[in-house]
Amino acid sequence: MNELILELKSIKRCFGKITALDDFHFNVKPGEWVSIMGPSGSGKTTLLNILACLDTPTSGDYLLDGINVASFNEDQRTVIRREKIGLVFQQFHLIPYLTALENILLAQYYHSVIDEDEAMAVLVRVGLEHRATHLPSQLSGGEQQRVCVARALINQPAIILADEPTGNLDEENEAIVLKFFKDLHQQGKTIILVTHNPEIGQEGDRIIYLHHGKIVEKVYF
Amino acid sequence: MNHMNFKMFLRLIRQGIRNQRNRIAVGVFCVFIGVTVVSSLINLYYDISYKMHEELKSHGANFFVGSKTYSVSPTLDQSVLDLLIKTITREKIVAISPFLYGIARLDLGNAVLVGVDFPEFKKLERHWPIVGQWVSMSFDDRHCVVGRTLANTMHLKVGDSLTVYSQDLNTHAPLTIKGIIETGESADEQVFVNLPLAQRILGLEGKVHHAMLRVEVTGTEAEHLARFLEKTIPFIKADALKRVSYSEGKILESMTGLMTLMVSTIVVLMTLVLMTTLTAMTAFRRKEIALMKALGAKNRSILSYFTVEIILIVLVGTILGIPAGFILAQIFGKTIFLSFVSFRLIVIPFTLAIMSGTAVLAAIIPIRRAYRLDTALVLKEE
Repeated sequence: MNELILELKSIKRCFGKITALDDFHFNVKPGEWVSIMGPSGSGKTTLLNILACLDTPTSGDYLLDGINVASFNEDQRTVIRREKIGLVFQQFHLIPYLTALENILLAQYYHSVIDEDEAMAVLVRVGLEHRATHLPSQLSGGEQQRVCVARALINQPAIILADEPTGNLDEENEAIVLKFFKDLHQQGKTIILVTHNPEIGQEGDRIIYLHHGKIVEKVYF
Repeated sequence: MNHMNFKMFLRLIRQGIRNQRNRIAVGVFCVFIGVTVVSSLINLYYDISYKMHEELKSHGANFFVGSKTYSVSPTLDQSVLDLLIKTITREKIVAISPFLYGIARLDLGNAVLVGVDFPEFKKLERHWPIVGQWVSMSFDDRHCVVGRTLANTMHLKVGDSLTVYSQDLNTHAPLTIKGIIETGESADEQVFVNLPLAQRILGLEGKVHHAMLRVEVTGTEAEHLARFLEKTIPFIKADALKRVSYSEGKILESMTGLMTLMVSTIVVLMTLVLMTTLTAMTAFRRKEIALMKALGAKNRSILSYFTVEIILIVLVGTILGIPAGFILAQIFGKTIFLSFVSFRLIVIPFTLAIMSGTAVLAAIIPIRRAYRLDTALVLKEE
């Protein structure tokens, strides 16, 4: 087993003349929870996109579970993403015409073979078994985010990448979702979470602060 | 694909269509209109071409075959007819008749006697107006057909008896007039009998002056056939009668050009409308596509959704459009050509081929957009 589940070496990402990430080095150990914080435009989203294999760096190496994916083409990145990564979005991004259960099955559909029992078990895990046949429009924000978490978990990914997962939730739902992340962390899941909320950030093993595409501060707990 | 995965695929397609039924309906309507007009024009083209060809087929001979050397006396052997049939092939020959000319004596004077093969001659000159009937059998040596001028001069009418004599009066044949033709040409002064009788009266057994044919060829094909015949049968001179075959070719060529132009214009317009519709569909689904890609869908999977949706749009539009096109073809046919149009089966594969091409062209830009979609950027949009 690799000592590091992911490793960024001298990563640079430019958009025209703008440099979003500059000579960026970053490591994550298996089972670690890393919170990423920083002001808007600091490069958090760019970093998360590269980590999620949704974007490629302009230069540098990205080792994901020992594989350098920095030069992968789109299809190769798609395959590695569905194998290794579970994504949780701030805006939930559920398909509006699919039920909660079907939205979870969708991730399984692109990964391998769909298994309703397995999807139902994940839904039970997030406490939404009674909402299995409901459409996203029939679910509260918190419930939608829980479906989103369940979808991220269905393929048992090595890493969960979450972009402001509680950003659109009220306090009560924020606490529920956060509890899932804590549970997942305790179960040994690697979590990388982008947040503006210091309290949520402190739930991790460490926080890295970004500014102008560089890590300006690291806090360990 | 696994059974459950296939069910999921179908569900995605079904729900995707339901979710944007208005745009799908616009796509189907566009294809429907396109197919209606295109299939009606194709149907019209094939039907009118066929009918025109059939009509022109009966419009006189389009081939003349005579002796290479000019002579008043016939130099061609009757067996040349068999040679021609063998060379051209019977299927292509609509009609072939020999012609033998000579002066014969009648009761009231001389006249030009023409020996023909009546059943074939009738097919060649079926547009000639006739009072009475044509001689129906090629072995009939008791009936004749006479021209209107001759009939008027000799006060002959249908059913009258007429005796034809050889010049030396040694041979004669009593005949009954079966029909009187009025052509406005020299035929109005002639007496037509079957070839063997003419040969006997004129003392020219086994000989013919020339043959006239109606062959199924159009435009320049006729010229090529004439040269081929001359090469194959060296002692004959073959001429394509341009008056008929050339005009026929020209008319059909003009019709083909007009129809091609109209169909092309409609296909271009339809491609643009379909492309706009599909682009709008892609734009509407960009978040969905981005999410699918983020969850692990390869471009191939996205392409499969588009393909199924486009096939459905084209199929439904075509199924509805072809009967509507047939109705439109009736309206065109009756209005422009004063004739109802028969359904031509070739319309279906032809229209499907055109529509498939149109759909592929119309889908290129929307599919490229879906392929090049910036997943991260779209998912970050509010």
